[in-house]
Amino acid sequence: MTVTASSDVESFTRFMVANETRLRQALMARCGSQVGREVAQDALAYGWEHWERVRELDNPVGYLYKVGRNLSRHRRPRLVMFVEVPYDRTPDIEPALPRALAALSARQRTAVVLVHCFQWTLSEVAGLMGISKTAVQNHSERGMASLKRQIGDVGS
Amino acid sequence: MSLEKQLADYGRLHEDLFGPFSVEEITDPTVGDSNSVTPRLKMRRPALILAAIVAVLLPIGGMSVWMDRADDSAVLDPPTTESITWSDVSKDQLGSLARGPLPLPSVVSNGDVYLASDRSDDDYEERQTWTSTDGMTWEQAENGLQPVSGLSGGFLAYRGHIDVPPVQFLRSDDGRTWTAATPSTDPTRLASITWSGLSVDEVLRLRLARLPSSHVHEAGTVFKVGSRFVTYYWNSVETVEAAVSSDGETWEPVDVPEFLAEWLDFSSPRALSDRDISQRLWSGTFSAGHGKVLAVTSDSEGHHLWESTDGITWNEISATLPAALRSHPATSKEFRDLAGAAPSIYGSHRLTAMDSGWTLAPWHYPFAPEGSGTYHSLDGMIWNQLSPEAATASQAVVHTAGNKVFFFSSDQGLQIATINPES
Repeated sequence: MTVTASSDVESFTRFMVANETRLRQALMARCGSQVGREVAQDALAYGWEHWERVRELDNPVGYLYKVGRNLSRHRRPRLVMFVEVPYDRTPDIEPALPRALAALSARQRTAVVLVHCFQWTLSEVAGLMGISKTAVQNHSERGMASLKRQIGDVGS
Repeated sequence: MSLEKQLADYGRLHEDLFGPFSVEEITDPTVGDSNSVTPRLKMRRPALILAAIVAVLLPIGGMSVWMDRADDSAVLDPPTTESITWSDVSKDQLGSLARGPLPLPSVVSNGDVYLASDRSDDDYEERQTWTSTDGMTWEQAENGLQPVSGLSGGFLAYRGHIDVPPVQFLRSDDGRTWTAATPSTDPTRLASITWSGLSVDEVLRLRLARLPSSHVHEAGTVFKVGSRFVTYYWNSVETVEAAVSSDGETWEPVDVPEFLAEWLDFSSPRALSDRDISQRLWSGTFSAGHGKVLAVTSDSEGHHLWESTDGITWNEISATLPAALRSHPATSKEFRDLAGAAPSIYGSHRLTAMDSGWTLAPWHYPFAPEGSGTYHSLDGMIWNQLSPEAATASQAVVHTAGNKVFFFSSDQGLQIATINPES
């Protein structure tokens, strides 16, 4: 029987506490609700299995994000899908919003969901996507414009 | 309500429904939500120890296989032996080829030139290719192209994302100079097909618009065996269908063998998840070459090898597999109990025809089970494990092209086995 070193568990626990939310949200933004969450779990499991190596990486979250993204390529259905808005929330949230989000390009969707749904800063999104803050802002603005065209913006 | 406010509300709703994982859900196989199929990776340790023991006993197992066959009146001629030359290339020597976030380049060959790509569909604008004549020295070539594997007669590649029209196809003889190619089938659909045994010219003139099912859900696979094209594909209810064609234009439906219906059918009770089923075609279930087509499947008892000369009638030849593959479950026990003994791609091996025979390499995307051996066969009957040193290299990603087997690993860079049959 293999006994996992307690130091591994402790350091992986610290990693999870610090980064689980970011990784999960990033993959859900990219891949949709259910698939994103599943590949986040798979990516974290991969990180745990290879923790000795992953922990030494400069950017383990970015690495596991890539792992999850690659995993998602083989998921079915390939269409990105976001969870429908429950009936009791529809006065507040436009029911067409999930489909409109899914219809955005991958980069626009990632930027819009992370910035506006999950309240990431532009710098955080830029670090994840490996592009400049300006590029993130452009993706986000174009994505928001597309959403407004699709579902309108009552408050604006 | 403003769009920004709606998105913020939707984000909170999302977190309520798809909230965080606990550490235990990731590290403890007995904890977790009932919908997950995530392998509890640390639980593989005992299986890996078992695999190591099996690997030590492999020569005995191989001898046993040989003796079993000696009692069989239908024993084939002994296979020719192969001469394997090993070459090592450090990560530094690989240059930009080794600098990707994951060591997952794909490698294809036209016989003289090897073409590698970093095969990231998500970042298709940044996709890169490299060419090499010896597998050792690589030069960066055209960017943005995804080479299509399993073909002969030059290179075929597409530009764009496999799921996002338009997909543009290009062809090349040397991997460096590309010209536009116009396929007879919708390019977007063509890009998602797994090919084996066809030439570039044949792929481009193939017409898949008139498959027997009126609602083809997934393109599936197309291979050529003899002079016949064979396709397995999913219909709109996600059961697998098959069709054959002699000219690549007119297709006739044929029955799907039971083992393939079970292996590829989304509605099969043995299907662990949609993901696993769709991966089975992408991951090398079939490989055509040398006048026949082989198929590999797996279940909780081990791997199964099948052989066909027409793509429709199959004979199981599992007894010729190495004992480690025949008896090592490719699935199941490492998954949560609720998944039962349902088969999964995890731990399975994929087939690739090469200039000299076939390889059986662990499926690796990205879970390359540690200790999984890579095997080579000249005739599809007798399988030998390639160098244990390379085959067990930590996290080696294995690609077969031309007469070479490439083992990429983050620890050891690139190890290449060049296989030449001895005359």
